[in-house]
Amino acid sequence: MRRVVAYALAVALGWLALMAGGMFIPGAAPSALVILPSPDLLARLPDAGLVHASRWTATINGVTAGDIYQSRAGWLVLPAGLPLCMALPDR
Amino acid sequence: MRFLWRWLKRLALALLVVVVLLALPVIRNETMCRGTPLAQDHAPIVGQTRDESRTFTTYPEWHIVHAYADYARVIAKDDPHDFGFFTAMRGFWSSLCPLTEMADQHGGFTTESKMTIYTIGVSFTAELALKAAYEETLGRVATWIRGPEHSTLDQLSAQQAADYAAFLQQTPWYKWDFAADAQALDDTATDAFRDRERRLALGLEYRAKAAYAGVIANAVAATGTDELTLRAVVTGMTETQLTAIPGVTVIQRRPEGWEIETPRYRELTQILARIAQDGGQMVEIAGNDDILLTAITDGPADLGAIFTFPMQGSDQVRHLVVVKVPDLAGRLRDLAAGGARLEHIHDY
Repeated sequence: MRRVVAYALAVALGWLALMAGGMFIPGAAPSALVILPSPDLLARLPDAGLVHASRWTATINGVTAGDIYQSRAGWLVLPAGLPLCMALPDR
Repeated sequence: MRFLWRWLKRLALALLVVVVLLALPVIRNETMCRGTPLAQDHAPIVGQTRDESRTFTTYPEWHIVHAYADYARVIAKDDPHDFGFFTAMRGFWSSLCPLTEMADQHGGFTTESKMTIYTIGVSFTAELALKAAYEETLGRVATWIRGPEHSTLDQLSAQQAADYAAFLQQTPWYKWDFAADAQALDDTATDAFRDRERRLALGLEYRAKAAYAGVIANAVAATGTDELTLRAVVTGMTETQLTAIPGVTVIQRRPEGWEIETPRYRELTQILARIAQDGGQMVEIAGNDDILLTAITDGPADLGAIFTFPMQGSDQVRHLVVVKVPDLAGRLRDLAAGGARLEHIHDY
């Protein structure tokens, strides 16, 4: 049981690490999903455009993952706004 | 303290191994799956064109949809550990290699579409690895305790998987109501051991997905919607015949044929099949002369596919076939005559 949980934890964290690491590739994603953003995120990143915000996450564009970490605007940066071929509008 | 340090070191090592394992297929695709760009000899007739390489880059997401359909078929009769989790993962990355080569030949990937495919591929692999870890171990033990007959929640979860797979055919995954599925497990569970185990394991999975879907739905707000229609040129049919096909709008008569506008996605497959059936012929679609389709046969068959794989939970085989657009109608008629079924034409 303990091994299964440890394995699951490693897979989940490894997946997050890869997604976050991919954000350092230039042009990787049109937007960034910031997990646990700082309350003054937009003040710390004046060039960022806010797409959506909730209590725990913020989706922004116009800045790189490096900018976000450097200005301590959030804990984790994941790709967002990737063009999904099946993301059809509601019909 | 030493105990904690030892476990932290183990976790860091495990994390490193997982990151390398998840990244390996991406590295392989980047280094070993390259195509040489071909000179494009087709000059588009219509003004509204789409990138030809997109016919190849839209497939990987469909592969995941097909995998969920396979999973639903398997657990309808058997148990989750009977599903080939690693076969499904391998299928995604193996099919991506020839598709990358084809896309490179026909205009190449954009960084964004590559990132999309790698993101969904790594996420799909991680999800299946987690499910496999549970279902092959604790889930399997739970089925031994249960016995050969499916429990109430086995039946319910099989139905939920089938409904989810059907939903994915037309709608993005994050719009599925996972919270309702979790609630249905709570409402239906009996006191049987397997039901309590399914309620806990699947309830956890559904609730985690519900939370993640909420985050994704907000993040996707950053994506603009794509065009819902495309232009094509058709010959061998009259204007009256074309306008009789639901969804088709005739734009104008050109020297090469009728320029029509049609919906994209699933409806396009139906429209192109109807044109073929009525004796028409496509000259170009969205300014392109190559297109990818998937066809299904009962058992192995040689359709000249770039990738072929068996569908889990059935004896059928799926084929990824690249066709010249002017040959498409003839090919569709041949498929039907040869006992193969057209599944989907991947537009651009």
